Amino acid sequence: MTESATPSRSEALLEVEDLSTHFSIGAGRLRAVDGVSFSLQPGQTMGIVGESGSGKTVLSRTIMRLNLGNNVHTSGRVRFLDKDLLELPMKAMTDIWGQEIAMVFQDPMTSLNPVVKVGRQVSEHVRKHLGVSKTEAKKLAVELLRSVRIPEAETAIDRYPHELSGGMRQRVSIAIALACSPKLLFADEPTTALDVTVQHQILNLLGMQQQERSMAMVLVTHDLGVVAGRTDEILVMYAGKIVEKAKTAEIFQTTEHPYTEALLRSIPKTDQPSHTRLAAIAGRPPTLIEISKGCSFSPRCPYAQERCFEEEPVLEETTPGHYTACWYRVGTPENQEAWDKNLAAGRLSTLAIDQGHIVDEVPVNVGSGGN
Amino acid sequence: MAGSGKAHLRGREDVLIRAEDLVVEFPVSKDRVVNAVSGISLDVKRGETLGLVGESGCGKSTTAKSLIQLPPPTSGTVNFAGNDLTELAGEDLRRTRTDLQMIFQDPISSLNPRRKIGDVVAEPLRVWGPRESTEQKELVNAMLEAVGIDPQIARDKRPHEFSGGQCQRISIARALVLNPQVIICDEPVSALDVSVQAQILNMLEDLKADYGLTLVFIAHDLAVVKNVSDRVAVMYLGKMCEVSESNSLYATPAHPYTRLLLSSSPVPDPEANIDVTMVEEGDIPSPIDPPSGCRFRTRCEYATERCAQEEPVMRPVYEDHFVACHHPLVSVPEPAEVSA
Ligand SMILES: Nc1ncnc2c1ncn2[C@@H]1O[C@H](COP(=O)(O)OP(=O)(O)O)[C@@H](O)[C@H]1O
Ligand SMILES: Nc1ncnc2c1ncn2[C@@H]1O[C@H](COP(=O)(O)OP(=O)(O)O)[C@@H](O)[C@H]1O
Ligand code: SF4
Ligand code: SF4
Ligand SMILES: [Mg+2]
Ligand SMILES: [Mg+2]
Repeated sequence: MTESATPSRSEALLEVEDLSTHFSIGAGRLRAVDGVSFSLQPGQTMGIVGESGSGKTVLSRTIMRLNLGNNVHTSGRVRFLDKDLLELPMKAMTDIWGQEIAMVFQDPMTSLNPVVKVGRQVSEHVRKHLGVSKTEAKKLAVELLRSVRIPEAETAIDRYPHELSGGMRQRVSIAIALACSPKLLFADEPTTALDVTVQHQILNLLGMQQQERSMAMVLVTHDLGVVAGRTDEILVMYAGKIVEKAKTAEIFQTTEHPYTEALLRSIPKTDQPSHTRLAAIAGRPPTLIEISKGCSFSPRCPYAQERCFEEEPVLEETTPGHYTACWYRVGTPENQEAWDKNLAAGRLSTLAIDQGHIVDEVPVNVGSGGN
Repeated sequence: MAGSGKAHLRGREDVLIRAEDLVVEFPVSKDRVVNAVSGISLDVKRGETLGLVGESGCGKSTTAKSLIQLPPPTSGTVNFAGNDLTELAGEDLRRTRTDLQMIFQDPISSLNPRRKIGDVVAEPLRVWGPRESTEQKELVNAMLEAVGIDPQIARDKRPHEFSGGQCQRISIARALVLNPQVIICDEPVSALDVSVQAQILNMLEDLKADYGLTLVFIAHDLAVVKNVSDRVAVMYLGKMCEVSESNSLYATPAHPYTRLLLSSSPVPDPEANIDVTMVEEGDIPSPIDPPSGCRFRTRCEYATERCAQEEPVMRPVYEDHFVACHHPLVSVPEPAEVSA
């Protein structure tokens, strides 16, 4: 890989193109991930955010080719370095796991064996992938546990996972993930189950290891606070699609998509006075089974106009590097007009944002005056 | 007597709830106990929201449950509207308790899956409500409407037909149906997506105003707690660290633990300063064998010899802002003499 100041597309570490993952279920075809494209440069951190059910986990697991069941249909392309991951035989894929792409999950017990001492779990992983001797592997295991700041690593290796705190278990699974110095780490809600102080340490640890190893990371989370200071770029997902993608600072400072904006306005912040009214988003995310015309956020969107119910917006580059899928982007005069019009018409989804009221039922894809 | 002082308590005549020196111990073996709550005192004014914040296991739920005597504390008193609940028993206790309702984190599992929503909400009425079934029905309808659920549609459905946020609202309707004075909310939004969380937080504020409620609100998210609370109490390992009017607590945290919590909390602002140096977990003690002196000392960067010897006592640092720490993060006027 050549070094250059402005990496071109061909230098991407990971390139995802028009990726879709659908499930056949009783009620029809569930479009969990629908036409997602993005690329990630070496050493960079990509945050993927969205509320539960938006497709973050399915997207990650599809890219890594982890088992999603036998009712799954995947299309699109995933290029990692010079390999087309979706085309690789499973054997070649297993060689990539742990060696070049590693992963950390919300529940460390999904990757740890409850009845094997943690030291052995790390050293066996090291032996399998690096082909070193038993004593060498044990030494490496201690070093790895030390590198993830597990105190007294020499004795900690003899512990079973259940003897460790949640944070310590997550550190062990990070040690295993890092063992072969992967080029890319997928972390799917790695700190969601942990207390804030532990979350903070683990995120710092991941960032530190990432820098030391020039490893790229995809950080998947429902928490915009978690990605804010820790990623280079953010993808916002809604109903299986990317609705906005930009440099992290831009997503927050010049938010363009109404869903991103609504999410940000619904989060309480410590620098707001007590009793600050929060924005509420009307309705619920779509079921992902029925295909609807238009923008998938339109029933809930405070700005939706006629066009939104008819025509699906495409993800467009609005300013260099900032992509948004919306006909009435936040910050444009058209957006302001749409707001004023909907507010005057008493549109429920607009009032929910404006006044923070609960609105459970919103009519699906009807004219913008509808309420 | 274990206790972190009571300088933060206000006049008895001003408060609806006043709990003093609450201790809750859970035996784990013949001679060992979990010191879940070790001398907590708190009060709540009528119409006020008290936020309780702290990391998991610090004793928030245990404190809350001991307020309603489920189970009663190992020692200590809970005064509610002039009655010491720890002295009440049987029918008297149960009747008084209808004034203090509790809602929980997991709304779906706290609603009986086999019962219809109408019956779920009516349940508390069967013992304590009006006899007339039409009157009961009206109350249930009114409460469902109050939480934004259409009773005509919802009454005959079952919990699984509703989203997590709707189930939480249904459990709030059930808590409201006996017209209680106090609702204790134990992590009511922790399992919900942020947009649903916002709905519930706004709604609790509205209900509080409409029904003149007094709230005790537990959460581990500091921003959530600040949003709904008038006053916030920070707990650590069964002890109270800091109690303050909420804006003051966040603007000028005085306890090292409060500051640690605040600096660890993720902020949805890329410009916010993140202290990236903290990577170690530190020595997290067990409530079975808590540290001497200040329980936070094993993780505190300001700890001195004194912190191991002597338990810090709650004392004022600012107007309506109290801290239990020997070396608080403020320049304090000479510590006021406080009776403990
Ligand atoms: N194996 C599966 N079969 C059918 N539907 C699934 C399966 N896995 C996930 N889904 C659905 O796909 C959607 C996206 O899920 P997921 O990626 O887990 O969301 P997130 O991680 O953003 O919370 C959800 O509607 C979920 O119910
Ligand atoms: N019934 C019980 N038996 C034994 N220990 C308990 C019991 N309930 C709570 N604990 C312990 O008491 C401490 C405080 O728990 P809890 O009040 O649930 O904390 P929080 O609500 O702040 O997370 C924890 O160490 C917990 O493990
Ligand atoms: S304005 Fe229209 S296109 Fe944009 S998010 Fe709202 S509904 Fe979708
Ligand atoms: S009393 Fe001592 S150990 Fe405890 S918080 Fe204050 S400075 Fe730290
Ligand atoms: Mg997920
Ligand atoms: Mg609890």
